[in-house]
Amino acid sequence: MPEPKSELSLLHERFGPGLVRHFQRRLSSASAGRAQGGDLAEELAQRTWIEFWHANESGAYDPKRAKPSTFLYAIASIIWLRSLRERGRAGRIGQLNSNDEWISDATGLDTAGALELAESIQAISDLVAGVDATAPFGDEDRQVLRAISQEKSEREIAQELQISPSTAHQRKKALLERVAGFLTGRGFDFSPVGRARPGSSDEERTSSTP
Amino acid sequence: MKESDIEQLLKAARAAREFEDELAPCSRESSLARLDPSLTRLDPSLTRLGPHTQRSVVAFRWVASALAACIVVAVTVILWQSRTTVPEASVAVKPPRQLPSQPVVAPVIDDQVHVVVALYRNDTNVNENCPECWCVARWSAQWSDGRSIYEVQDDELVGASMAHACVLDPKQVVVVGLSGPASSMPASDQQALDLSLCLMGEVPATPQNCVPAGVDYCMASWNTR
Repeated sequence: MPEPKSELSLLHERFGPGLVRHFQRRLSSASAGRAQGGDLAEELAQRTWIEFWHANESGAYDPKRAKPSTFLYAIASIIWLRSLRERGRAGRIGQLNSNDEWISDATGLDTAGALELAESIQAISDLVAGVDATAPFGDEDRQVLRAISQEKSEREIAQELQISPSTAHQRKKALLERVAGFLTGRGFDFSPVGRARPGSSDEERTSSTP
Repeated sequence: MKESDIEQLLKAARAAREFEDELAPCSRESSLARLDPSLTRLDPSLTRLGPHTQRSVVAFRWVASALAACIVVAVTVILWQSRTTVPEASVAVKPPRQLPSQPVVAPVIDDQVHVVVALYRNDTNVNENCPECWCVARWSAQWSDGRSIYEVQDDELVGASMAHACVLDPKQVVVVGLSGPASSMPASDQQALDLSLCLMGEVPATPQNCVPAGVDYCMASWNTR
């Protein structure tokens, strides 16, 4: 009887081609050259899977804290940013967007950073989706958070909620403070200034600041 | 954590959702097929995910792989034979044919129609963004074993496309499988080309904005190296 496939090989089977497509799209957006696109996309996808495998084998990755696709996203992001740095492409494609720069600073472009990024993303995704029943955020709060994730302006948020732009500004500011406090209370402290794994002791904390 | 960090995390969360949609073998709009988050965690229930893991996959894949291999071999032999008899001049870059608008009669399964779109190029400048270099073929997706578009493997899509090549000696092939309401399917080769180029990233748009709502897609590609 053939051996049942491992969970990792099932994931690879399911997500492998899509991951290559993801890097192909990134490369074609960055005008990196189609001649290199095919090989480079596969190389980046391979590196992503290797880091995923290492983190899984070492026990560093906890699937209860972040979905596999979320962790894959975090690793794929740092692999992509690393490749830009290695190949010096940032100059050719212009400035990185603000989210790429933030990820680069916050993760340090290492696997530990990717893990924390994935867990933080999962926590905030669950919050916005209303999965976490203990989170003290209502439907309108989640609507505002979704609008922020879609990079809507305060004016657009005001129109959605039918309030004034100044009220939208105040509400957004207060909500983000509450979310920051909520996540910090759950042990998340993911930022370029410093980060700590939830539940870790002070001795285990590492800082990304030099 | 600062407010700005929360804003960035929210943006990253949205990007992660789009990434997850991109990873799926076939992007689905309907909530029925969107994976329950608890099922995608690494646990034994992972083996019960998706329609293709609920069937006798091994047998299907053997048959599908053998069929795809036969098609590829047959087309390769035909192309090889035509290569030896056709004068070199006529194998030069063939301009893409005019894009007709005849409808493709697609099978209707569960109120959904299934269509395959394939793009072919036979020029060697495959790193150039050149919409006019592609020729387009469309045909109905009739998977005789009753499988849906979501259960079709990449190599099978590419293998099937070789039988519909609209250029001699294709150097690059992109195949898109579409499933959705008939009214949302591309009505012409031009629409099919535009949709495919969008999915390939040739135009600035996320994959979700390339296909109409309610349309699912699979994509595969092949090129000579």
